[in-house]
Amino acid sequence: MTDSKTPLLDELEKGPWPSFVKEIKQAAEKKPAAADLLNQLELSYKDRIGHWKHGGIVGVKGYGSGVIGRYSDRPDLFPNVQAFHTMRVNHPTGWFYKTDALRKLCDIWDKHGSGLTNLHGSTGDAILLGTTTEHLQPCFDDLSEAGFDLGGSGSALRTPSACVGPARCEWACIDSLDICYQATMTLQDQIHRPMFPYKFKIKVSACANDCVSAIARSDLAIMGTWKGRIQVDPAEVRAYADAGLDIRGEVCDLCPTKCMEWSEADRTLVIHDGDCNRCMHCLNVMPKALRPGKERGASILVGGKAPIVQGSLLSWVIVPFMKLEPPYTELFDLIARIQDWWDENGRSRERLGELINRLGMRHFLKAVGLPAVPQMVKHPRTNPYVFFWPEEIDKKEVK
Amino acid sequence: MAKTDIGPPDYKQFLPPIIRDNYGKWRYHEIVRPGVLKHVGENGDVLYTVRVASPRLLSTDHIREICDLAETYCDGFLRFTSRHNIEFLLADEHRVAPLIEELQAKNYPVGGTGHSITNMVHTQGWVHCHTPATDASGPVKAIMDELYDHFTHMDLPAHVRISLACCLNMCGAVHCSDIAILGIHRTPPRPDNSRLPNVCELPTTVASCPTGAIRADMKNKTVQVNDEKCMYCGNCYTVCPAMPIADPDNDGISIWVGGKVSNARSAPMFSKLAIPFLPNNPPRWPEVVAAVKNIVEVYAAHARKHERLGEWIERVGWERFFTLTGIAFTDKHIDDFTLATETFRTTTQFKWG
Amino acid sequence: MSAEIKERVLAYFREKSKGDKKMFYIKDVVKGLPDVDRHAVQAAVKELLDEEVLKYWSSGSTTYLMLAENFPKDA
Repeated sequence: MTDSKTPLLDELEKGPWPSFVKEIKQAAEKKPAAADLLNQLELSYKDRIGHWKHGGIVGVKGYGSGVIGRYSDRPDLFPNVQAFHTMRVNHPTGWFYKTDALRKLCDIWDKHGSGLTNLHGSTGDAILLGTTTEHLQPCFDDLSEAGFDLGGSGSALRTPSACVGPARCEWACIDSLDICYQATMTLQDQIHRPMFPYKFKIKVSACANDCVSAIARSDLAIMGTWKGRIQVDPAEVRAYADAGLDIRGEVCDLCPTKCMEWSEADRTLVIHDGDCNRCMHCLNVMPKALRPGKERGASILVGGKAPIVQGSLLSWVIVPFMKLEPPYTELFDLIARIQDWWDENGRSRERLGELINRLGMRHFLKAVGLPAVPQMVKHPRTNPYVFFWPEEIDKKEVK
Repeated sequence: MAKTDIGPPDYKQFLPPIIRDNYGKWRYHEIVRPGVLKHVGENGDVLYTVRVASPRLLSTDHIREICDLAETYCDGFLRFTSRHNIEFLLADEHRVAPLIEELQAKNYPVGGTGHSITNMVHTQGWVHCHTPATDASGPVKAIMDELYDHFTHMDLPAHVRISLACCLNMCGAVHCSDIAILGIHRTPPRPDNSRLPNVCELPTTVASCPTGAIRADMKNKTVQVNDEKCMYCGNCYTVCPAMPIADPDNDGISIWVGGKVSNARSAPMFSKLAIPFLPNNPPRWPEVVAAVKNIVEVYAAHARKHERLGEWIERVGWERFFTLTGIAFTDKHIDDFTLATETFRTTTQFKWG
Repeated sequence: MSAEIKERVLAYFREKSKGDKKMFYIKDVVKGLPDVDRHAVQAAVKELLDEEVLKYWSSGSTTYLMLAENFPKDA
């Protein structure tokens, strides 16, 4: 160990959790760029600062998105990472792969890049980590040949993402994968040619468990839900009780609306569906016994984002229930109206939620043609600064 | 000329036959052991999923090894999760045990299901970001080494989602995590007046600042930063590499707790500040690891079954959270951004701690 | 019609790029041609991008537009 050039990083090869240092070292056996990445990272560990600079390179003909330009601030020491750009590759919806496709990605990246990837980046894309400016176009050409395309970056629609949905989940109330895929295909131009005030994210979760963090992380969240009664299989409810589940303690008492009663005497579960807010807790605990209701669709929420610039926001309900069946015309028309209002009124680097906050929800609703409903608010306003539309005021002629 | 706008490959071609047959027709699932899901279709078909952790940063050769495993055991079908786990999808129950045996022999952690700590969502850090206030992969590795048993066992009151973003731009949006680890800068960028006139465009640099803290100094062809207004986002460094923000002694990590994204029981919640600053102490960030472990242990000892970290804190009260964890409460914990007053207590209903 | 809008977009970039500022938001360009429909301006910008008269410059989170001749050389 004494002759190692990376004594600090070597420490992170120890321990049971998979080591990213091993990954970089494995790539470094073939790739000088990965070797210099390792060496530069060791310097960062020594200096306790990063050693990358940004560059505005986009690099793929016809696109303004999908490449993040990165340069070393110590090219004198690490010439093989002088340019070390990222390519974002739009992942297959739901992150499903067959190995032949993954192997193709690997071969392309060994040919053009550092041999290092992220599976996957935060937005969902497969991240190809580190290549030179000259390789961007040829790499894209090979990706395209293999059936892959780049994802979004900058002031664009970012790569939409979806939970596993009906492919492997009994709770799926909508076809999250198909909706996401259709949105991705329909909105290709928005992904590749940034023309918006800032980024725009669409995420699709097929139930309220929200496995892709749509409410927290997307400007437009599509959340599967249902109307009507939770489907109950009374025999399976009893089977859970027989197996030792404390239905009163673990299900009824934790229900946020207290809409369920468990009768120990006759071993039945009564659900007052009118009180239910479809939070998913009881279904999560008893998946065999309880299922979503039969009339299924989605709630649409908008405005979610991380802090930059004006603070984090969670998305707000704007459509309590929308049926979602192909070709999803109502949904895509609504998205178009929302984006158009934002594009028209938003300032540069102003996210949708911040714009609604600045101009007022009522203006947003009027512009996109949605009626105000109580599901949109936690409670009505408490301040008296109420504004009426001009047409709502009885204007008397001045005599 | 390459074709553009073809979009991602159609996911349907990557669905294993059992998923195609049971698409939208799953009846229920069980977690048969940590890391193993059993989904049962309405027609009685059974699909097994074996979930393992990845370090997110993967070499192509490692991906090929994962492909080898998927070809041996799953006819080449696999998927990744939104939290960087790998899921092997098996229609044949008899292959589950041999797959797990081989995975464990190759040091893949099998787990991350149910009431466990699953893989950490994280950002690039010093590996590839230009404005990081800390590394990402290093702290994640150090923390998950320590919390490893909580990945492979489902021994917590509820899910615990830990996430790390290496600066407040949060390209990995961590703001709704049970435990969020957030890199923070504490000093403004420093314009390098000798280089700046040559490498930066003044109007763009000025415009890049979201808080209007940068003023052009036309006479000297450089810029000045108003320290009072700067919130250390590093956006100016993005467009102007002659104003570095990295500061080894003052950059570090803050810890936030009690967020969640799911709607189960309680509504989605933001994470709230627990520890304003811990130093960057590579290679293993012992202060950060100890702090996270402490929060997890206190939570595990006190929360009720199914109660997420934030739900537990809401029940017992933040004042008790600080007492139980021994974390110091400071003036940094009291909000002074917009709408801060909504977080101030307006009742005499509080606990003594 | 669209050729005329392209001309005016280009003229906007030429005029505005005379000073220190070389990078512009799409919103700046739209504002610079207040009598033209926003969508038409965007379409014209896209054509100029395709012709590589204009280029994108991306901070990763935000995208700017500039004349190709002003695009910075590799860092």
